[in-house]
Amino acid sequence: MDIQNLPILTIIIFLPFVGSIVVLFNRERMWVQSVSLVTALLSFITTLVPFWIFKSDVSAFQLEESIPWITSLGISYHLGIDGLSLFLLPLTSFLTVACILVSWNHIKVKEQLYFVMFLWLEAGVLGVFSALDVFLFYIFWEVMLIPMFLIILIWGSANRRYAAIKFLIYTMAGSVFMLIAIIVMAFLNQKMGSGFGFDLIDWISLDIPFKLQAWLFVAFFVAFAIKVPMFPFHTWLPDAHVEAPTAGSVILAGILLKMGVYGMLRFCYPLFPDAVVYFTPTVIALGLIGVIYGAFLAFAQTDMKKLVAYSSISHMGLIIVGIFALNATGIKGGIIQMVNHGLSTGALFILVGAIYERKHTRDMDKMGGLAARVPVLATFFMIIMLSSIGLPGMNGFVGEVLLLLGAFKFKWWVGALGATTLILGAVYMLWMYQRVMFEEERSGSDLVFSDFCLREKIVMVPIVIFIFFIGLFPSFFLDRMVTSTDKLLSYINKQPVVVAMIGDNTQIHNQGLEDEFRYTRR
Amino acid sequence: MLFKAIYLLPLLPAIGVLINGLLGSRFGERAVAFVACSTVGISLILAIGMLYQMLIADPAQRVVTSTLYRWISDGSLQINIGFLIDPLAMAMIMVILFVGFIIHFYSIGYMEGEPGYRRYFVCLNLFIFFMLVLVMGDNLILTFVGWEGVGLCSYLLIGHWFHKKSASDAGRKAFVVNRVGDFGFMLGILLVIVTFHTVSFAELKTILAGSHGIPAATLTIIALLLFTGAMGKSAQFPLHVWLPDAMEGPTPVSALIHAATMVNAGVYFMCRIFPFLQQAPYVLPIIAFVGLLTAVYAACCAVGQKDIKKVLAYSTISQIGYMFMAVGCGIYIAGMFHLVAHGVFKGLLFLGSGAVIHAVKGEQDIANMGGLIKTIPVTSFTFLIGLLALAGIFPMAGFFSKDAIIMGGYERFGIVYWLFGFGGAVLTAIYCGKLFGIAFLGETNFKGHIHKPNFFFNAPLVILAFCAVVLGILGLPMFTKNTYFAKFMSSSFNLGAGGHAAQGHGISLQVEIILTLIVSVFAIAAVALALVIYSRHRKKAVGFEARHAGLMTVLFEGFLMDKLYDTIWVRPLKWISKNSNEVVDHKIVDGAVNGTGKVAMGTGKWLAAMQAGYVRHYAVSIVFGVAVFVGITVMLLF
Repeated sequence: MDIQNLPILTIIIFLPFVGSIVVLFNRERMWVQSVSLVTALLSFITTLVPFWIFKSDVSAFQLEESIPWITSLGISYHLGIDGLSLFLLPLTSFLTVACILVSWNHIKVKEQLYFVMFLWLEAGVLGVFSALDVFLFYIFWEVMLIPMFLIILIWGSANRRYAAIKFLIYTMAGSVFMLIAIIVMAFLNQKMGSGFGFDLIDWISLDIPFKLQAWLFVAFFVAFAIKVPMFPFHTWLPDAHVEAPTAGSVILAGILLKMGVYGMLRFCYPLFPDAVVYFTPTVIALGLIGVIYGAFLAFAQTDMKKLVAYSSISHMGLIIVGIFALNATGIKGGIIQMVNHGLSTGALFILVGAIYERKHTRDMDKMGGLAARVPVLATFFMIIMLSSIGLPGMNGFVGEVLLLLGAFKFKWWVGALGATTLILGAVYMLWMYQRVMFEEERSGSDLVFSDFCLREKIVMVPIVIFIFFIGLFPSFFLDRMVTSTDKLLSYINKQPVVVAMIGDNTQIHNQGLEDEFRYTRR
Repeated sequence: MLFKAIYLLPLLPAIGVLINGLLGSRFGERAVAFVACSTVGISLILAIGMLYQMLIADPAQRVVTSTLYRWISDGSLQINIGFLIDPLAMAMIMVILFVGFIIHFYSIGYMEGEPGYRRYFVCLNLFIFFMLVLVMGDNLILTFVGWEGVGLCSYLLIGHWFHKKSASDAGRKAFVVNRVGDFGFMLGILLVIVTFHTVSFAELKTILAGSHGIPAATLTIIALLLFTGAMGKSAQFPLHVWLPDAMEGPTPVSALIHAATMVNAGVYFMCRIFPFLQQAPYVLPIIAFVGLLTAVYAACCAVGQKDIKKVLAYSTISQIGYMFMAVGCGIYIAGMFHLVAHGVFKGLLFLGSGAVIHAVKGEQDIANMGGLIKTIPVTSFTFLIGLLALAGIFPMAGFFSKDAIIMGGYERFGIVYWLFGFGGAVLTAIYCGKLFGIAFLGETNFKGHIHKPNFFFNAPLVILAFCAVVLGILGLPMFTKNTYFAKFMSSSFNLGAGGHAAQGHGISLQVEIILTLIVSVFAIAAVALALVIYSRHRKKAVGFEARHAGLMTVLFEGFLMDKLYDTIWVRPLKWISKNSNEVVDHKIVDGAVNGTGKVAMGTGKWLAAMQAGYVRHYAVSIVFGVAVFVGITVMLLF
């Protein structure tokens, strides 16, 4: 049978779910863990399959599957990927494998449920990244909240209840707005298009009046901005991270935050292009605040996990700036940086977790001198930290250069403000490294602990390999996203747009806008 | 043709990094050192072969490029992993690999028995790799890769003894201050990309050579931004504060990174982008001014230092200032000549100071040394040669290179620049004489057994001392723009052929000779005087310094720049950071959210009074809320 005729995306999404049912057959620890691991590995392999089939010169969605589902409401089971989701699928499945290995023999209560939740979470996220029916998307989006909520609530640390509920309220609050907008869109489709329905491809062809676009954009955007999280919707993130178990933090930072950016590109760009242009200055301002404010907050932390959480806010802020710079460079940078951030921040949380297991604290004032005691861990930590602060040769640099270039093309001073991340990132990361790894032990504790074990090395080595692979051969990724980014941009540039050069005034004339909304870039 | 394999030069040290990094834990010290030294050694042999081929080639054929693969592409912008070797790069490569190899060899003995021996050699090899990428990169981004990479190695090696807080702080400071410069560098690159749509040096040169129509203002901004990067890396005022602290690292590291190679990268880089400088009207005077200011400022500071390595550190800052002054005068080749000469004699001085520190068991305060010439003669004599070269005494290499720069200042900017350049040279001579007088002559102040340096120490010193003496040949024939070195280098700077002297005042040979003699005589006198005062009449000299303790403290603390930065940058930023966290984020932003949350919860509780448990609670709220909103919206819309 030809591989192209297989419903690959369905297999990708439901494989973890099937695996989670097999997990339930036996309560024994080895069974639960092994089945989960095998499922996650198989899932990772299946998410790599699209790389062979994917044609990078095709702008339409690929690997499409469409089955009518609730025909009376125009809901179908419609899946498909493009150069945006192509990379997010393997990122998700890869980090899930890492999470299962990180949790190996470390779960004390309700072990079976824990691993089932992770597989569900994976299935939900993979669904989010491949759904093309917006109703289906919304279901996956909400379904995936439950396992994440439970992971924080059940396996979190002391203040987990507060954090879990804050996480839930926040995301749900955002989702409500999105749900309203989705329903309105379905009605719009009935009014202007092909009847009541939720198919994204139908929606894209709608020509929505600007005022309505603006409202709908805001409704979608708030949901995604909370997920990212963007300033000022970010306060749930540090709490959630601090309380979540290590693997929960990895998924949260590595994948869940990406769903917000993904949503903006997948929905806001094609559906509300005029609104995107209109709101760009606001969004970029919030993004820049995130970059700088997040970095300052990171610097003020004493808890390692909080520091990494705030650094995420800073990094994600730059991604937002890049994708809203309205040029291909920034969008490409944004997509590749999503993968990079997933790898490096995911890895940072794994390392923080590994240190916590050894020191039983995350308070940097009670650490110091670890590099002498756990040199292998320290080396991995150094590599990951450098990846995170964008050292050339590693993945972070490629993303950072493209993002900054995109921002710089938009407005030079946006690029300049964004580039402060070069300095600020180094300040807080190196300071963390010094307090944890260098100098002498500050707490005076005489805990005896060992360096990285084989399992931990198995988790970290592939991450490091990917970090260098992306850093040295980014074209492998960039070439596959060119067509999709150009297509995203073509929604915005329905009318020809003169790309702003330094120093001159460039206007975007978008005749789809009513005159009063004509927006001038200066 | 060896040239086909230019990528081997950086590849070999990289292989050394991989071997020692991945497998080295099973090796003994000697095996680790062997791998590290041999990879650099083979690279050096290859480089010498390439130099030979370059010398016999026609000057027009002295540029070799090799593109490995397309790295990043964005529309029409193509960034390749590609290397370029021309005489300019070749000069740097020779310094890097020659001094680098010698320092690798020296480190075998110096680091013996130290914890972190393997880590040290891995970082050292990695440094050579990145440094070669920096000078061989054929585009701005690849140069930036090397630029950041050497910064990383510098950070790791300064903090080699990381258990010391001072060493960790110094490494971090170096990295962060460099990043401040790199911020400018990055913006410069971005501006180049949006202006030229390419980052390749060759293409940029071609575009700039033609009628490009790019406003001079844009070129000026680009040049200034890139110069900011160079200021950071090359420790120019006011971004020099990291270099004196960087002396926390092992001494061979100071010799390699913080004297011979990395800190000069800024000068190299300015030479690499000289077409920009030529067309940006106000930039060259700014560079010259910064260079001269740094040269004199750091020379003053060096006089007030007590630690042998800090004297050399400030001296390095000062000498790099001279190099920038050369660049600013448009005499790039003179700047590069001083770079090469300085790389050799400052490498020698640092290795010598390492031998001294080793001999006196870690003592670094020169006041506690004294009379070392009797106990460690080889080290002392080679050190003296280094100091004489540094002070610019005939016939050492430093004499030829520094003279050309001071003269260039006169030609381009007139007598004031000459006077300050001259003043700096006299100060240099004074601190050289003082250092030798206190540490090596006079009475012995060190109580204890002196460690006699072994072969690993002496061989490198002798080789470098020999080079410091003979390198001056490259500066012949004097008083012409056609020295041997200039002939070799000229093809790299052919665009700026008019840039050498054309804009200068044009001075006659007689004046030139007289000025050179003045500088030389004063320098010799100053060295001799300082030597005598600080060896024979040390008590009087110490008494004099004690009477002017305030001035000495100012000099010692580098005009209190660290305190200034602490007040205007570090403290305010920490304050902002602390308050962002405690007040803004927790009280205001989160407070607002929690307030809204409480209201919502209250409503929710009221609505779902009959329900128990949070999840259902929300489910009900959501369903209810959505129903209401959808109803209202639909009614409004249709």
